[in-house]
Amino acid sequence: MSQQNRAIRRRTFLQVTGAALAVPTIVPSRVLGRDGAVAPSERIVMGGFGIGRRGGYDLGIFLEQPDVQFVAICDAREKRRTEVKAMADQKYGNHDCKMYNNMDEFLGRADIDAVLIATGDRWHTMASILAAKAGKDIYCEKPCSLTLAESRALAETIRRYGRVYQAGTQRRNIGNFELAIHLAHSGKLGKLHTVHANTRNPATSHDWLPAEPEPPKSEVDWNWWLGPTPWRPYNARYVAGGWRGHYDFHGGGILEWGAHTVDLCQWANQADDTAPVEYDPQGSHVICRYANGVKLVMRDTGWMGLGTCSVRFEGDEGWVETGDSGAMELGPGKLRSEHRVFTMKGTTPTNHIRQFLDCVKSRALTRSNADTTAQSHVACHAAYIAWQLGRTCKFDPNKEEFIGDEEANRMRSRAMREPWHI
Amino acid sequence: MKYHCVLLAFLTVVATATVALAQNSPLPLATGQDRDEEVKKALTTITSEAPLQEKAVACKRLGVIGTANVVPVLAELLDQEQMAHYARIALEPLPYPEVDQALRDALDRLDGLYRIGVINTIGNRRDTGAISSLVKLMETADAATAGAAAGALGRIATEETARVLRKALAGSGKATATALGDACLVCAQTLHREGKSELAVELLDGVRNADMPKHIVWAATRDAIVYRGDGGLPILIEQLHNDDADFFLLALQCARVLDHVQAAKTLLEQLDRVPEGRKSYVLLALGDLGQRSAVPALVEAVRGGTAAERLAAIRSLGQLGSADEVQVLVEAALQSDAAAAEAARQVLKTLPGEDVDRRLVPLLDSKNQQRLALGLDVVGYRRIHAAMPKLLAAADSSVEEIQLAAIGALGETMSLEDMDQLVQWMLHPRSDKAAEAVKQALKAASIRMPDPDQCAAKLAAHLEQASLEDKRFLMDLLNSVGGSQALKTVVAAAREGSPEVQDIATQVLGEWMSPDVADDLLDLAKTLDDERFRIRALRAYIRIIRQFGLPDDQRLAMCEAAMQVAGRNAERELIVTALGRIQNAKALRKVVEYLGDDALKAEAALSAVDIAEKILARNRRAVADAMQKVLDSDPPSDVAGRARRLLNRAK
Repeated sequence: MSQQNRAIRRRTFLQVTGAALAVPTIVPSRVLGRDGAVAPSERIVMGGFGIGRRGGYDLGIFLEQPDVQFVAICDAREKRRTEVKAMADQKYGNHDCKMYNNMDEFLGRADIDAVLIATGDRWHTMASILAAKAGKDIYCEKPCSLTLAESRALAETIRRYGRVYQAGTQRRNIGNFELAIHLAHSGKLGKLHTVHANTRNPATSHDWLPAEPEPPKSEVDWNWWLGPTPWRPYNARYVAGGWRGHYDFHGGGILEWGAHTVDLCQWANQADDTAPVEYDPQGSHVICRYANGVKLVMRDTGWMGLGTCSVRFEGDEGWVETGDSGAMELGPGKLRSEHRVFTMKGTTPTNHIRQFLDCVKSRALTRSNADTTAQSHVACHAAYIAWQLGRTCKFDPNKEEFIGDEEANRMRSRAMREPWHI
Repeated sequence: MKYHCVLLAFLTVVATATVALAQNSPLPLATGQDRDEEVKKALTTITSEAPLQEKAVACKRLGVIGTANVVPVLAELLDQEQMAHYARIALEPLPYPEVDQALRDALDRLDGLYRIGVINTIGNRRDTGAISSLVKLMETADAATAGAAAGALGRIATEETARVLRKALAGSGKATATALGDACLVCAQTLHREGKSELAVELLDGVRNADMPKHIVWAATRDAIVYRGDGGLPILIEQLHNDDADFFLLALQCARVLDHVQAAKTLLEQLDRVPEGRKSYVLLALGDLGQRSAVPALVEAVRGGTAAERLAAIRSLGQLGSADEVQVLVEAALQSDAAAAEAARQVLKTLPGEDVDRRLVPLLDSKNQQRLALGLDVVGYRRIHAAMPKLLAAADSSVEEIQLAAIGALGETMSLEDMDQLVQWMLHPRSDKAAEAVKQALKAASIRMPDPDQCAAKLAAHLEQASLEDKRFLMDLLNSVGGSQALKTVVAAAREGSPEVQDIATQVLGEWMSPDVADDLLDLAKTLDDERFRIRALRAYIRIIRQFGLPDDQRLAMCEAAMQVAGRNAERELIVTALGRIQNAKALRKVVEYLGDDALKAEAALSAVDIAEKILARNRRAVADAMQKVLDSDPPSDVAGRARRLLNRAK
């Protein structure tokens, strides 16, 4: 195991021992001005790339942090540029937030320390890699890659440039999920044998929407919107969120929720540095198996109604299930004594964003760092490939290769549109 | 003319077949003769006048099933607008030397973005046969092309490309410094991964000494330390003292990746030597390294450090501390520095070990209120059951702050036998604040009782005498507790209570957290006198069908049962929508039956296509029949489009 991965595994344990510990914000004295406000020179200067509805929610939380100064928005869409600028300017009571429709100029700003990336999925890896190469730290919404190869390239680039990276898989910093993980790690469930991840219908489509006249480039830059993905004619529905479900832009329903739930299962199984070795598609579910014998069940139907993005961990002495509602079920009865009251919803990234900012300062590893994120995304992509092929696929997580399955191996990557590459 | 008509018909069929096969996942397995046939069809599509979308799908499919025979056709497309990229999508994953040769040949005839695309693909394929061409491009082409060539050389990552890139660092190429620096970093990373660390380090040192942007030098320095292992510690120490804070932080980042024993030893040696203001960061890093040898330094920082150092040291004690550090943490939790006090309190709550528990319980004997309040908070959070008598005593305190803290701690600590006391406090509260605290405590206690039925029985025994507001709270609590006794209690309230109680009970049943409520809901939907409550029960029953992972056959039967009870179209529509979530042919047949019902046909058509899209692969005939019926029902245009596509594919 590499030193990097060793560090990750050890850290995982340490974080679990402090599962319910609300880690205090480390703000060194030099960061604080005399009135307790953060001195301008010590704020984390941030920019946004592709901020829509979810990104706007994230941005609202970033803007609440006293040590963040949000100064720029870069987006292919004029409407979003102006909306985000208005949001930031209103917060600061000035007109300083700059709008960019050119990535080079945006990333070339030396004063920007970190970026929030919340584009559509097609841009997540590319934008993260470009930001890392420009020396920026990154908070990127999930899913973080569209292919297995993108997942690996993302992790390697972040490592190569030593950037702090946090994927928007905020459930790693939400109490009910943390407790479920703690129970799995601490042996209170006995020997773990099955982990369940709530996913969604895997299917995507290769259809194109009918061609429509392209709007002026200043309004929507279609070529830029497409970015590294294949060209197709413009249709307004894509840019309004209708890109979901299209193979070129979206990784399907396993990845859509698996980026959260498979990620949590990986963590529960202490498998942050690996992926399952077998993927068996059954209807819209995929049953996977890890080298340590633990079964990972990806299924697009819920279980106990505990909210979206449910996970369930089963050992030979007990089980736990929890979801976005914050509710938790435990069995057998004696395990119920571990229960606590949780009020934070699974969709709330406040703790997660705070941890990212703390790590930007301390250079410590985030919980949803690029290495762990890449591994959980690899598991989702491998499952989706097996599902598309409709057959059981065996996988070597070390080489990230399917064993004896040439077709599956060819589906691990997609050439990017020129001039982009990872 | 006749020939052209036949050819056109053939091409149309082939193109349709190709698109149909690949238009929606899952893709079918292609083997042997089937595969050859499919490859042939895809090539025909690509060379035909078929719409671009069909050609695009064919290219994507060839990337998965293509043979060496497809290379010449695809190579021809590498300079064609909108097709060049699709051709590379097909070519890049093909493991044939013919692809490499075709791409190398294309370098000479292409320019601009198309050539950059080909260079990128060559780099991704790590084609060593293209090195000389790429070197030439790096040295002579425009900056964008030279940068792409440098990047490709970096990804190919051999001794030869390392040498070439090192040479280019001296200024021999046309690539920008950023592109060249990135290429070197990529190359070094691959060489290191493949066991050629010495070569990697040599290249990285070259980058560190070249005229490069700061973040590239920073990254090269990081990798130069990490790839050297323990041998990188002297460079790490240098960076700890670097005037540039970014390089200081880089050193700490490296320490977290290197061998933790050696890294911790180094950081401890440097702890008092680093420039002012940096010690807190080193203390944080020491926590992450997990070495108990750092504990004395951390304790010293908690007692005598600056505010930032105290905070950092407390956090690190959360990772490294033991019972021996409880005393210093208690002292920190009681000091006036609010941030440090809060941090210490949190660490005391979570520091593992029963020996830690034993050292914390005596806090409850303190006459000092601040100390006692800390003890109640920490002991409660840690659920130290042995402290129960002291918690009960504290709950009688005349000081409100202590009383409320003790109630909270009791909620976390008490056993089933003690719960009656809490319920009595809820029914007869000493103050509004105490009532709220008791409710929170009751919730915390109830959800963790090992036997939910016993717990529910305890709560149910107090339901009769509770006010309406408290009844609502108790029934919500019963929902959280779950189990058969809790369900029985709330169902009885829904069936036999006053209208006000029925109102509360049916609302709670509508949010019930387990599907065992279903039979009771259906019965209530049939038998309750008040129509409002019957409808509420039916909707709750439909929710169970939609939200819980019950077996398909069971859900189908539930839909049928619900339909028999539903008197209004609003609920019937919900049932048809729920049917759309059941992925089998039986559900499809059932939903098609409702196409003839004017009030339901729109919802039925939508559900039918939802089901059909999921079951097409194994139920082509059923899907074809159903989609024809959907189309005959004159559905909205988007649903009709989906139905038509499914019908084509099913046929």
